[in-house]
Amino acid sequence: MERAVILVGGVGSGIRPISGGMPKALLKVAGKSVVERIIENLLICGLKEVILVSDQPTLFEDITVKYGRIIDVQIVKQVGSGIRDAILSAKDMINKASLLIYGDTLIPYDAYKMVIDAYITYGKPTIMVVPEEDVKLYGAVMIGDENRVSNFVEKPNTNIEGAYAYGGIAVLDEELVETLEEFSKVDEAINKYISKKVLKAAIWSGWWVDIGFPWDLLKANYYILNELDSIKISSKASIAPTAIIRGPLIIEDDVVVDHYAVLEGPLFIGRGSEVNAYSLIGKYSSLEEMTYIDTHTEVFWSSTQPKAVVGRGSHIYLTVIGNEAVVEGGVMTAADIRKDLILKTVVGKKLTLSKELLNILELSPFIESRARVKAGTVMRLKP
Amino acid sequence: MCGIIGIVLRERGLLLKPLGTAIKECLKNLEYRGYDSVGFAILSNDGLVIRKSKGKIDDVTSKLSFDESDGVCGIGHTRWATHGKPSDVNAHPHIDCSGRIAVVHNGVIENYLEVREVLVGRGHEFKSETDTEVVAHLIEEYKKLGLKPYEAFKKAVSLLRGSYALSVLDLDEPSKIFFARNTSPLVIGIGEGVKFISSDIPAFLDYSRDVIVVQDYEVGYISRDVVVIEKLMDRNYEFDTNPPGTELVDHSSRVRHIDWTPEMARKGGYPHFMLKEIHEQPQAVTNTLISVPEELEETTKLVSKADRVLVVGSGTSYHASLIGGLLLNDIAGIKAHAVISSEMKWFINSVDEGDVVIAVSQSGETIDTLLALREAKRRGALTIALTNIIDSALARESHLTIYTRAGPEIGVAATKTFAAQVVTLTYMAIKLAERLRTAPEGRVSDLKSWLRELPNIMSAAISISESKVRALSGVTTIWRSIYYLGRGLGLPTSMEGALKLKEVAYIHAEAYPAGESKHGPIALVDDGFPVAFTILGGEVDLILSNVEEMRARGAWTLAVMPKGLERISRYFNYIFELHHLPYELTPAVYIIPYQLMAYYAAVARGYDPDKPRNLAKTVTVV
Repeated sequence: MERAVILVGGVGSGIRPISGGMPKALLKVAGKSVVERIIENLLICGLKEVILVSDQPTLFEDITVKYGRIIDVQIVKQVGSGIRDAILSAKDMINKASLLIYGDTLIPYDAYKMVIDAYITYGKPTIMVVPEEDVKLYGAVMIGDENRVSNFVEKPNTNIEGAYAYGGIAVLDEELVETLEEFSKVDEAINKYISKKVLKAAIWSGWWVDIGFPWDLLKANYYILNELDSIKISSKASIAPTAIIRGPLIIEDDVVVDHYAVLEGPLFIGRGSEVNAYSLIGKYSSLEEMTYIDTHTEVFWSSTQPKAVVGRGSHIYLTVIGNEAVVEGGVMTAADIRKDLILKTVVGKKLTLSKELLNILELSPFIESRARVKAGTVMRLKP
Repeated sequence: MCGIIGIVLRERGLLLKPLGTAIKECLKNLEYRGYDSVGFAILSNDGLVIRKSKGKIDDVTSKLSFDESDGVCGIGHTRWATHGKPSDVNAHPHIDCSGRIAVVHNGVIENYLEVREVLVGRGHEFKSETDTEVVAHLIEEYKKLGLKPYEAFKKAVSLLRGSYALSVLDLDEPSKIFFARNTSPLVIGIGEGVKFISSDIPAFLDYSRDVIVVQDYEVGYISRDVVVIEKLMDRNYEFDTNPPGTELVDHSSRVRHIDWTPEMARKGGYPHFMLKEIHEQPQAVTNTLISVPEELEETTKLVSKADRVLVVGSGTSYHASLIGGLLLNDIAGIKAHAVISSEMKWFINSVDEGDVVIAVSQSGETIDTLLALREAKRRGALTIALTNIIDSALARESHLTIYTRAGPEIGVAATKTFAAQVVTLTYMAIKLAERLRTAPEGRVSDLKSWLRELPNIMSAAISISESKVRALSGVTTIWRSIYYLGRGLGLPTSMEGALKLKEVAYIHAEAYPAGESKHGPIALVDDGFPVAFTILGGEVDLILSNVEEMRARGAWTLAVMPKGLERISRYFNYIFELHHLPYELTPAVYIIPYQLMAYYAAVARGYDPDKPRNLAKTVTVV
């Protein structure tokens, strides 16, 4: 397997407030966009060619430049909208057994390896599935003898007992792509295909995140930051001697950490960000490039997209702040959450977060891209 | 426990890859036999090239660039330390003083200290702490005394006591690999222009389907053209130069064709073998149900006449034995007991001709079980082996053999072989009930038809439980200790569940009869202490009082139970609801959530479930 096709077209209505209409694949998690993370995993797996399918190809030019020296990256313009049209836009490239990846899915690289290995072993088209309790949010896949896919529902209305969630990676063949052309829906095409041919499921047991809503970035923070195992501070960062730094973390170039700031990893602070005096940046926080955190502010398990500003004396828990948003001083988010109780539920590296925690994440507030939150605002979990 | 491999090619490049790469791949397939050190010896233009190191196969083979080593003849080894700690020096192959002889070995040479002393007296220098190194020096010594290399090898082997599977390269008889076996497994693979010698068949299944199983006290060699096997006739342990008596063996009738697919030794669409094997259970049961009826025909005839039946096994096989023992009593009215293999010694005094001993072992090489079987046989008992490995020691030494058809199991923690063992023993009990008319006819045919449905029920249980287990994995990471409680067949099912969690997730887990839990174990239960209840159906009200006792102390309770028991669901914090089926057939299904729970707990805690620390797949030491 040499080639991967990544569908990076989706904007995603669920996460639009944060992305401001930018493709989901370009959202940042700990310094790298989702699509960059995917490409780097593919590099480890030894793939040689990446094709990005997008309706806004110009937005991905930086990526082709960044990775172009080490892997062949091409962009194909998507014609039409939706998964089916995206696949068909690149159909000439998919027909020769290549890896098809949804550009909003984050998984560790072993998962790609597993799917490639399954395809090589069986010589049959293969899709990755994940045992998820509630498949409503994803595609539902039923599997039968020897992991043959027996039914595929793209958008299930209710939860289906015993179904696995579609994991966003597949190896298709020419015939499956041709079948797709005959149908308007992906699941109809797949069900038609499996009525005569074999489609295998590979079962992934580790973590995965499908980025669809703001809180999915918090999930992604958790899994990706948990993989850090050392402290990496750029020599171009300026760290005050009285700052306290604990746990694994990454601090990039030109970051300023002022006196008496406390950084409690795992966390990430991106290029050019500033953490001012007496501020506390807690676990699972990812401050993307050029984030500004004023003094006496606490940030815990939150994601600030590039150029976000948080004013003095704020308390930012379990919150995603969109790019260039301004949070004025004295703002509290998720004011009714106790940090110690949250941390108790995530001892060790979980494969899935508990239901209670997921409920809290889904109810916690987020701040839209380029929005301004007035000083002194208190935000609680949504009722 | 170690894995050995030897490869002889007709010409260089025949496998379309360097010989070092082929050795690496074969060793990967033997990784389940041990993985603390790795090494190879290849005969190349530069003479004998030896590379070895402590560490896992992937790390060592890339560090020592196996992929860049080529030749026509080579041996390799993956080690599981028994004599001498894992280290670069103790890794195999071992060589003699002249560096012309390379040896790989699996087993334990009992008289190595005395042989070593003699050899040191004759000027040999030893580098390692292993028992293996004596073999290289012993061959060298006999060569010095005037024997030809192969003769010297045979002579050396005749002097050894203990268990061994040996594979030897000698620069003075290049393009041959000498081998010998006693107790430790050894098989020959015959392919197009290539011959293999290995500890197990999956090692070379990618290249060769025709195999010969080497038997005890056989020696011989493979070369590009021939396979020679001889039976060692006298083993007098004398240090002289008279060649040992041997008899040529005609092995043409012993060639077997293996029809497993080589993919079966690959992970094919799973992150780990353990998860793959859990998912393969329905298939393993289907295949076993197809093949065992014939083998059970004769065995049940004999078992039905027994005064008493002892079912012996170790670890997971013991839990299957317990289930078999309970069912033989319960539905066939046979006096049956399950005994742990290593404890058999203290039961053996009462074993006699009227007894039947059923020895259960996945590998058929478990030494404790083998010893128990031998002793029972010596005392006149009828012995029956239940194993997954064709022609294994247990199969050869017992009067009768029943094979489970689970296919090769690579994960160290047994899963699909447990299901196959349980189903076989259950089928045996049903057949005996039929033969002895201890159960109503309708019941027997009812159970038989449910048995045919079992694979489908197991499939459903896997897909229904898996997402619930994965979601639970977060909770398991904070567990320090857990009880598994059950009654009747629920007890061995609980024991097997607890064993899985211990083996791969390293969580202390203890199974206890639910009714006994208040006589001691409950003292440990306090707020949040996890307790898993195995509820199979008939015992609901009995077990409920135990559940209440635990909850009153603040226990966090989990249940594996049949669907439709809504009235008791409020007693549990977490529930796995499974298909309702006859009590006798529940263990193979109700173990599934526990197997998955152990697997996902291991993954969540960051462990590799396929390679649990301190454990080996086949235990060939007492």
